[in-house]
Amino acid sequence: MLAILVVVSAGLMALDRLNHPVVRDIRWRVSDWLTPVLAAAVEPLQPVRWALRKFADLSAMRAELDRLRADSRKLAAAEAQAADLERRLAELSALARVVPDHALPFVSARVVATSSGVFVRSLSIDAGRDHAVRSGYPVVSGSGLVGRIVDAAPASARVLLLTDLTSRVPVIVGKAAVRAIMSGDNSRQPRLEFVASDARIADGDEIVTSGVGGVYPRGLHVGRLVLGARVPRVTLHAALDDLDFVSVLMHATPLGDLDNDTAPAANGAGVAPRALAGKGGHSGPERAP
Amino acid sequence: MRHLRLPLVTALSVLFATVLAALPWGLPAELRQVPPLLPFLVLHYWTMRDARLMPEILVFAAGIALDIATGGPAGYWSLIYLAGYALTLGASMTVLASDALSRWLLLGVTLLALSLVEIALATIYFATAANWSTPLVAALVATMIYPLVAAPLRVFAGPRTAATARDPSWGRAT
Repeated sequence: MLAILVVVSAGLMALDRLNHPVVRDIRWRVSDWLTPVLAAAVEPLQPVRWALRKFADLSAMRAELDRLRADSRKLAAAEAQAADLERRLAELSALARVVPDHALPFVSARVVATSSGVFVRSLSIDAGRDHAVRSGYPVVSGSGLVGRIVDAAPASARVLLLTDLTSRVPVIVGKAAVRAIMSGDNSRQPRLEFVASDARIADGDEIVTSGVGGVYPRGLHVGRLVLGARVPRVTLHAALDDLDFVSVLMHATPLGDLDNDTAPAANGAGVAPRALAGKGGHSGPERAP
Repeated sequence: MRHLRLPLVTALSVLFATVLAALPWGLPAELRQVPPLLPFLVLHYWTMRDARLMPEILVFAAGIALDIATGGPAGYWSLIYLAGYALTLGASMTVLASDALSRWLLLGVTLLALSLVEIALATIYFATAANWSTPLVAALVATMIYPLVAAPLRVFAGPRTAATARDPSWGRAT
């Protein structure tokens, strides 16, 4: 019996690796059945999560205070500059008759499970195809980009995180808008690849999505550049280890939905202005009806 | 009904541990591998106590449920749990498993072996070298928290009797 089950497990792994439709179908069905159980179980967990978060916050408070003081000094100087730039941008936009960005519909969902393998970095949310969530849609938190939908069942979906080994995101770095690819390698800080050797990048440069490839819209906040290691890395804005709610942006990719589904905006889905999406989207506790 | 109580407690405890393992605990990345080992700690306890309480199909079901709930590859955790179950069965039949401290040490060795299985599976699955430190840290942490998991199970299970202690069938799969 033990040997048979080992063979069945190995077979399932192989089929899953090949993305076999039968395995995917079973996964969706069981996932839909499990999601309400997990969603109910998350509630009593909140005090524990709160305590863990407080403990982590306390231990990081000293460093955070120093960083905030430094940031405060920088911001004071940047504020005046930003106001001036805003005025000039308004003038230039008026001159160029720029069409404003379209609003992005979105739906917010609760995180009900997180990945647990040595290589898979994903999480499950309690919104799925019934909420117009489709494969390929970007997912954001209140702080920044989180990942994208890779599997959507009727009432749940799986989000592949930016840190996953298979995650690739086209980004632009810093003021010089240097193009690069951010690649997950299962560490906390994804690598930045295909950066030109003479590129003008600096430690701490802001990184946003470039929109190349069409999966992610342009301008979603991703993180900050970290130089110093062998390869440039990215400190993500979104705290991927500690997500309660995320928002799925209904950004229809020009490459087509991966499940051959049409991707209309959901009935009852919220609408996030592109500017909000650029700041990481909506992350409030309320759900779209 | 009394003879059904312990198998029912066993199944419910494994189910409970599996649900706990899938929940988003908000743990730092270095410790994210610890919750999936919770169901294994439970099934290790019951297997060591009396292997007849832990049918292989329950071990398999716990792994598959965790795989699906967490979005991992189907069969990954069931394979690891089954490997751990086989190791635990083997360990339970040795003279080393005679007292609590020895059983704890055997669990540590089993978890260490399982972390190597995890790394090997991940490396084969993606054809790239998997992170080795996180599973090893998780194995160490899981070994340390085992008494906390075993204590409530011991309360539910009640005292060992001659029937559940080392009898001739103890440690033998059903």
